[in-house]
Amino acid sequence: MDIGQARAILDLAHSAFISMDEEGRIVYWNIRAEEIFGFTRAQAVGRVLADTVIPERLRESHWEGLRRFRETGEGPVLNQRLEMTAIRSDGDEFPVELTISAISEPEGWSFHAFVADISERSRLEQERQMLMDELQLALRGTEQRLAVIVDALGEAVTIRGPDDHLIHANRAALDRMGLSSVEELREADPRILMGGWETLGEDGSEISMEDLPSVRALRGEQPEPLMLRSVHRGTGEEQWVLLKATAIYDSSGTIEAAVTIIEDVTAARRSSLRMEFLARASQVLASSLDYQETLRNVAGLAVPQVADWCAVDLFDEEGVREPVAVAHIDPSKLEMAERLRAFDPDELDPDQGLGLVRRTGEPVLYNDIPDELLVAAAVDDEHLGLLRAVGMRAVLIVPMVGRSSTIGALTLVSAESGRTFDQSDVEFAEQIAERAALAVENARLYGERSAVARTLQRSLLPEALPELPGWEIAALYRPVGQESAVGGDFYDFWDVDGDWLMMIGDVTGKGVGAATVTSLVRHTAWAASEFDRRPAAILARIDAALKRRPAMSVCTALCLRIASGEATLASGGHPLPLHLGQQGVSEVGRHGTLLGAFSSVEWPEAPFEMKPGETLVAFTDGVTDAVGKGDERFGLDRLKEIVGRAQNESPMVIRERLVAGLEEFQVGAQADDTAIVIMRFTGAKVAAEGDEKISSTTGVQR
Amino acid sequence: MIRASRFEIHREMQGDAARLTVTGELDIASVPRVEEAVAKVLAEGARSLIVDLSRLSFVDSSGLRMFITLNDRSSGEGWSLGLIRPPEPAFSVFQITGAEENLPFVEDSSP
Repeated sequence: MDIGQARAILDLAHSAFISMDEEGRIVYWNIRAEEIFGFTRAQAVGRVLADTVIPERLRESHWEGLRRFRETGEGPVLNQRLEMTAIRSDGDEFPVELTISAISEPEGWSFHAFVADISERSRLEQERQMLMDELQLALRGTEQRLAVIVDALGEAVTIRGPDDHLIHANRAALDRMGLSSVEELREADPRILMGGWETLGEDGSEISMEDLPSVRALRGEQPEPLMLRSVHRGTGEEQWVLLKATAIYDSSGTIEAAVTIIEDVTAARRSSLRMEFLARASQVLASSLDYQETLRNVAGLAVPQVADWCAVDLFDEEGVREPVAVAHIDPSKLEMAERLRAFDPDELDPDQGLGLVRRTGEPVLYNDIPDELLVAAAVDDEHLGLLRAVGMRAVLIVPMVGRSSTIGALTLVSAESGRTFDQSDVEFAEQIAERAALAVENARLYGERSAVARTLQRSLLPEALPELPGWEIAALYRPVGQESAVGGDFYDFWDVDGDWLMMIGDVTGKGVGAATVTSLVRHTAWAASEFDRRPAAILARIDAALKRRPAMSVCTALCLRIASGEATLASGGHPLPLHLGQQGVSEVGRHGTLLGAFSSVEWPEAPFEMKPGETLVAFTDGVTDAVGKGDERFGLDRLKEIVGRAQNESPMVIRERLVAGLEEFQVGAQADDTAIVIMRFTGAKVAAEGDEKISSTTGVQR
Repeated sequence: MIRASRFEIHREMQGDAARLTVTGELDIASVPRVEEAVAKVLAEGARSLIVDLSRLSFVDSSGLRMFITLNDRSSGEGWSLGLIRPPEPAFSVFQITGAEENLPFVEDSSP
């Protein structure tokens, strides 16, 4: 591990970490040290440590200790846990716990300390100790005095006698146990009293009376504080309590009783568990764009911590529900939960349950569900039987609120655990639902974008290549990027009264904007060709249409008109196609002006003849601009070379060779859209029968 | 993926006359850098801008589009744009699109 890594870890440490050199100057100071002592790293490093963190009255002994260590190498304070008093930047003194170690380095000794602020801990310790001292004193006095002191305490306190019976409890403790008087408490069997709650340890294990700190203290042990989760069997209320107990001795040294202080830590415990849960849920939610899978995972996380079972439903715009996930504390009950959910109508009732939550966007809470409610909700006897078998104690439904509507709901059910839900459960569930809604919307948005992109792309290319009589055709279209990309390249074939028109082009830009322009170009070309089939006229119409758009819309296009072997070509700023014949490969046509860009325009038409066996290759600049090793471009020459070696090959073969050539050449990801159209004139016999005949005999439709 | 091409912009400014000399390949990766440099000299008060393309080895369609946009803007915003021709083959994109006649190419008058 290098120094940088070590420092990064030290910055994460919960303790302050401080390093000091032999001269007593601070050389390292982590983030926690900034928080604890109130000096930034920049302020602290270079300062004398003693003047920074040690109260003035204790500085002399610090220097003395350092001096002695340098002279003798003896450091009695090193490598052990110490409690000391430190000082903050504002002069406040506070207790710290620290461990110091010394390291011998080439330039001398260095000292390193982990320092923890224990002011809170020592305050609680002190209070508890004072309380215990008071109680011990009290017990030696009269019973009235005891009651007066204990009853004056805000915290719940119980006193357990040697026979395990509770002999006293203050008001707070009696309230907690639901008892009205100390007499009632004394008469109660302690086991029956405890049986009013389900008591579980932090790990979920059952806690018996023998595990209670007070009982263990009576047996002469010195028990650690015990954290337990109690669920009242009557009310279903869930609480987290911390039990601390101590034995009280009589004057002869015999254990006379055990005092327990019951601290309600429900709020703190829940908030820390919830933070943990939310952190995990957020991680799960962000992990995948498959929201159904994700919601199943979240439902799984919610059980058993939040509820005994958890279900997720999504709603569509008409309010039809889509059950997505259900998780149950007991896997064997999962099937029952699924069966039960199948009874829920898909069409939601806007006045109850999921339907109500969807309509209002507010959570719905049913605590202590009476049998009548089940009877009312059941659609038939089987349904009622299932509802009763589940033994629902409470149901909480919270909305998953999306950007514009309630997109689903999270249903939390309490059954086995017997607990009810309170306001803080509602708020917590809403937080989970909020995160889940966001995850679903993100996933959907992404899914929609991909679908839109695919649909758009399909609409920008011909459904299938047409069958041109006397021609073989192959085409290639490769947009950059995957799902959500819509390319700016396009090609098209259409026929007008027996003439075939081919267009290939490149709209600058990407995405929906480019797709809109592409669509405009294609429709303008089709419409224009109805009136005038000359390529130059079609390009002129496209140019005019683009110039009418408010934002600059620029496009290159090549327009080819074919009547049997006679071809006419015009280019609107587009690379000229290659012609492959007996004499080899060459560009055909003449350059013309880019469409939609300039005021001075010219689209010269170039008629040329295609002999049987000759091939035309039209392409976009994605081909020639493809980047290879050393930033070299694929270029026109490489393209000509591949095409030139494909004499007598079919368009399909030429296409495969071009793809292979590009893939071999290209380094890194494809940078631009690529489109290629390859047309070979076979000179089929229909060609001799004339244009009009072709039109009527082929009947080819787009 | 945006490729990092070898590309440099050299800038000179005298009064309200600015000159940007671009070297390397002008493509989708380097166009934003030219746009940025142009915005900067205009913000600093340039009224006459020469973009010297004589050291460009390649210009793609996004480079062409940028010059068309700059040309449109200059007439609307009342500043002047002049382009110094790139060598072949970088000039081909201007030739095949008719941009040669429509963009303000000027002779290099600098020493």
